[in-house]
Formats: sequence, C-alpha cells, structure tokens
Amino acid sequence: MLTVSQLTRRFGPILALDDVSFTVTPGTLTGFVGANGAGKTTAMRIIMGVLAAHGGSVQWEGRVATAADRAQFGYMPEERGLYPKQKVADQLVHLARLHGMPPPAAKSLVMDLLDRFGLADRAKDKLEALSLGNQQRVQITAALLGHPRLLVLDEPFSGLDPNAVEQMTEVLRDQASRGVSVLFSSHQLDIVDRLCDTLVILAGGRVVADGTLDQLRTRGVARHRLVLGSDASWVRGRPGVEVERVDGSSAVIQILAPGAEQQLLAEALRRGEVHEFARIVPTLTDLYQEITAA
Amino acid sequence: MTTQLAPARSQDSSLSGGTSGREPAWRLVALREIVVSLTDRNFLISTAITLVVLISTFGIQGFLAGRSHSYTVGVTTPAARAVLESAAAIEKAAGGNTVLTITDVATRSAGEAAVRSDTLDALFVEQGSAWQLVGHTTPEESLRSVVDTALQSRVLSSAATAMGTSSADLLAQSRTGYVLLASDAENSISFQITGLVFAMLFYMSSILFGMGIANSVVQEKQSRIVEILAAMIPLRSLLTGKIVGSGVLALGQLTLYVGVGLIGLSLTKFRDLIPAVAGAAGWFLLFFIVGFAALACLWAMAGAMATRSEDLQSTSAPISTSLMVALFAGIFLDGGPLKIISFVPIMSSVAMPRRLLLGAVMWWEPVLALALTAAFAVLTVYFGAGIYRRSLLQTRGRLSLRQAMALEE
Repeated sequence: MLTVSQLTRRFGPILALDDVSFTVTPGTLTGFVGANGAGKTTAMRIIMGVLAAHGGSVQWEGRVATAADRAQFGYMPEERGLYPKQKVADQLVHLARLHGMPPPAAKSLVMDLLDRFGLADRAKDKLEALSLGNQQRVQITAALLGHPRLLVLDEPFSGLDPNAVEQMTEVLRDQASRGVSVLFSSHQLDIVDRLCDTLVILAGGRVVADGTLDQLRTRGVARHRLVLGSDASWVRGRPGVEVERVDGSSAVIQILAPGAEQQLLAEALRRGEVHEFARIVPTLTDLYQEITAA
Repeated sequence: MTTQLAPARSQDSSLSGGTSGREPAWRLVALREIVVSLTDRNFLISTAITLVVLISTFGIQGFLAGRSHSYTVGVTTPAARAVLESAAAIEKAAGGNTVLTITDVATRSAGEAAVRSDTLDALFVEQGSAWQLVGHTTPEESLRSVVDTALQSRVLSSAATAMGTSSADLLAQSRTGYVLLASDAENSISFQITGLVFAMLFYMSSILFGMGIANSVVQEKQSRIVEILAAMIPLRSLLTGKIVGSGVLALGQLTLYVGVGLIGLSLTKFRDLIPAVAGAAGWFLLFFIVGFAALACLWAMAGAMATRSEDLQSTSAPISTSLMVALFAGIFLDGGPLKIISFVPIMSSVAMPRRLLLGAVMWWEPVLALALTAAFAVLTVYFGAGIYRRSLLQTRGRLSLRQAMALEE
C-alpha cells in the first residue's frame, strides 16, 4: 500500500503541495483529479522519487519508501516520451536491463509484452513512426517492465482516441485485478467516473476531497427530484427541506433534516399522484465542480 | 488491448530479482549511447567522409611522390648503352623511381622513326663529342637528370683518376655544408601544419561530441524519459554513462583519424617525420581525453539548462566560445604566451601538443599541464553534475546559469 502523508513542496514563492495526504490500496484504481497546476504531477514525481519533498513522506508498506521499493513502481510521466528515434524493442530492452534483467530475460519479456499488446510487428520500427495510440501502448509497456506493484500514471488517457481509451482502460483494470495499486491522473472525468474505485481531488496544492465515489456522493447535501401529477409549488415552506426550484409539476429539493424526505413523500401522496421521487446522483463532473468551487 | 499480462510479481525473482551479474547502470547507458551513435546514419556518413578526405589527401600525395617514370630509350652504340646502364644503376642505388629500358636500334634515323611513332620514349646518341637525347614532343626532365647524373659521374671519375684522387674526394670539396641555428622542427612547415591539424581535430571533436552530450541530455529532458530513468537509476549513473559513452566514441573516432593520418604520412615523402609526429599524437590523444572530460559535464549542464534542442545554441555558448578562444590562442600565439597558455586547462589541449611538435619541451611540462587539466576536470564535474541534476526536471523554459545555480533539488 502506498501512503502519502503530509507532503509539502514549494517552487520559489509558490506552494505547489500543501500538506497532501492520501493512500492507494492494492488492487484498486485511484483517480487523481484536479485542474492544471493543482499539484498532481509534482505529487507523482515526489512519489517516484525524482523530486524531493520539502515536508512529509512517501511510505510503501508502512515504511518510508526506499530506492529498492521504488524499483517496484512503474511510472508513466506526463507528455510521455521514451526515445523517439530509437527502435521500439531496443529501447524497451534497454529499460528492462536498467531494471536489472539479464539480456535474454529482458528480450523475452519485451517481446512477450509487445506481442500481448499487438505490437510485435512494430518492434523494429522507430518509436516516432508509430501512431499516438501505439506510442501510448509502448509507454505503458515501459511502465510494466519492472513487474510493478504500484503504477503511477500521469495522464495516461490524454490524446487517445476512443478505441485506445478502451484498450488503456482494460490494461489498468487488468493490472488492478492482479493486485497492483494504480494511481492515475486525468482531466477526463467521465473516464475517472467509470474506472475508479477511489478518488483524490486536488485543488491549489491541497487535497479537497478523497474517498470512494459513493463516499464523495453522499458527503454533500442529498438532493431529490419530485414529479407530481399537479402543481408542485406547495413544497415551498415544508419543514426540513430547502427548495432549489419549482417548475410546474416538478421540483428539486434539498433534504436538510433526516427523515424530512419521508414526510414530504407522504404529503405528496396524500395530495395526489406522484410520478417520480428520486435521489439525484451527482455525476463526477457535478461533484468536482461543487467540491472545487467550495 | 485484450491483454493478459504476467502476474505482477510471480516472475520477479527470476527476472529482476537476483543482483548477481547485474550490469552497472552507467555501463548500460554508455553502451546505449555508443550503439545509438554507431547506428546513426549521419554519424557514420560524416566519419566516412572525413576518412575518405584524409585517405585521398595522402593517397594523392603518395601517388604523386611514388609514381615511377619508366622510359624505353634506344641506343645505337655500346658506349651509349654503357652510359644508360650506369645511369639506371645509379638511379636504382639512390632509390629513385625512374626506370630505364634500353633497346638497341640499328641507325639514328631508324631510332628517330621509332621515337616519332612513340615506340621509343627517346633516343640516346653521341653527336661529335657531346651526348644527345632525342625526344618526340616534350623534353622528359627526369630522364635527362638521370642521364646527366651518370655522365657527370663518368666525367668526374675519369678526371679524378687523371688527377690521382677519387671522385668522392672531389665531390666533398665541391660541396658546402649548411648549419641552421633554429631547430629543424621550428622551420618545418610540416610540423606547423600538423599542429594546426591537431588543433582543428581537438576543436571539431570537442564541439561534435560535446554537442552530442548536450543534445542527448536535452532529448531525454524534452521527451520526459529522464523522469522514467531518474525513477529507476541514480542520475549520477545516467550522467556518467553518457560521458563515458561519448568519450569512448570521440576517442575512438580521433584514434581512427590519427591512425589513418599516420599511415597516410608513411606513404608520402614526409615519412621521416613520423616518429616526432607519432609522439606528439600520443600526447594529443591524452590531452584530448582529459580536456574532453573537463568539458563533458559542462556540456551536460548546458543540455539540462535547455528545454528544447533549439535552446542549446544559447545555453552552450559559453563553452563553445571558450573552445574557440582555446583554438585560436593555441594556433596563433608563439613564444612566451604560447608557453603560458600551454598550462591553462582546455587551452593546453591545443597549445601543449603544438609545443611538443615544435620541440624543446621539458618532460614535466606536458605532465604538469595534464595534471592541471585533470584538477580542473574535477571542479567542472562537481559543478556541472550539480547543475545537471537540478535543472533536469525544470521544464518551464530555458534556464540561465544564475537561475540554474539557484535551483534546489
């Protein structure tokens, strides 16, 4: 398990990370969400040990992470690169050997992975000759070379077409199902919504929300939509509720006191037909906007 | 990707686990640098072109110097044949490259006809008390000089016999010796040219491979692979590997050039210079490698301070300017100033090999100059590597040296 605790990092006068803490548990996909400049990349670099923290610590399995621990972390940096002018297989073998594998093992692992990613026939091509989607596959292959127990992926979905997004999604799910802890950042909230088990939302260098999607959804005020057979304006002024808006026979209501929704429903049924009474489940985009606006 | 990846850790012990036989990261990095260069078409083509230029320069010289002149000369009398035979013998003994084939012809007019039809190159006849060479269109000077030498030697030896002395004594009395106050080397244009060649080679190789290091650094930074590498291996290993890789390539290429140059020299009339030039070339390679080491980390620093290849021009300007100054100072200074700069690191890499070529250098002078450069290298490695490490993850634009020095890790 990865535990990030109270990370702080300044760049000159700018406080890039301010007391950032969260955990990434094995077998889960954790989405790392926040606006540009919120501190996601800085946090990921500190986790990977390529940038020093000014305060706080990165822990792996309960101890402060060492270089040996980090050898078990797979990393995919933002604006991914590798060597554009080197052949795909050559550079992957080079990376595998830097992981400490002897040449034959490195070669067979690379060919094995390329084969599974459907890239075996591109092994001898220069990286820059591949499509963006394929380059992304090579990049994720690079992150998997060390048989990582933690994957730290900075924007793995950016620039991918819908097909490639699907494929990347499968890779991440597959890794998680094998017990790998996966932390990835993304601006595509729909993907995060669909894919993630837990979520860390960063704004201005601080964690503003953190938990499972359900936890995040229930942490705000519960909102309900009520659709009646007749005019709904009577809901105004009922005890324990705050009316957001009334539009003819429908209304959106915030429930302020526990149980107030039951009383409201009973009153509605007493007055006539009820077509719909449902809790509004916010999308991640709604949640994100609500949370980061606060 | 309908992929089934290997279980996360199950193969770990067999693949990445055991540290036995694990190759040091810097060596893998160096190896990659070398392989990438050796498979880079531009690098191979530029090396090949330089070699072709070198070889053809020496080849043409050697061809011109070593070309043999072969003449078929007709004679009508045994006396003429005897003169030519002694001419051929003298030429052979002197190691000359004029070869004579002597053919008897019946009469002068038959011989002239043969010369006109180019069957013979010349006809050699006695006309009264004088000797004559009969040619077709142009007088063959080398033929004439060979024959003249033989005639003079004949005349001299018969005169000497008449005077009761030997031709060698007569020759000795008829020649003057020349004593030069300056050493041979100082006057030799060949040594000046060799010094110039060394200086140019040092400059070109330093710029080529130095820029190579800077480019390789900025490419890794630009593509962000440096973050993957930094997460895997210490940056120290990455830097060391890069410098060792480029250094090996640079030294290899220079050794190739110098070797081909020396072999080429042995084919020309300057072959007597080889011992002196080879000695200076050895020192030159030594000075090159130490000077290269002193600059390598600074080149890496220049690469790390840039964000794109386009920035390199400006971040590396101080280094390329220093090299330019070292080049011109090393070439154009003489006497005391040359002696002084032959101890200044980097400048010494141009100036000391040149002084060695010009002679009159105490044994400790190049050793001291090398030691000073090595000490300077320690400083630049420390300084350059620090800035390299701190600038490498700064991707928000080109850094000035002051900004880079103010960075923290």
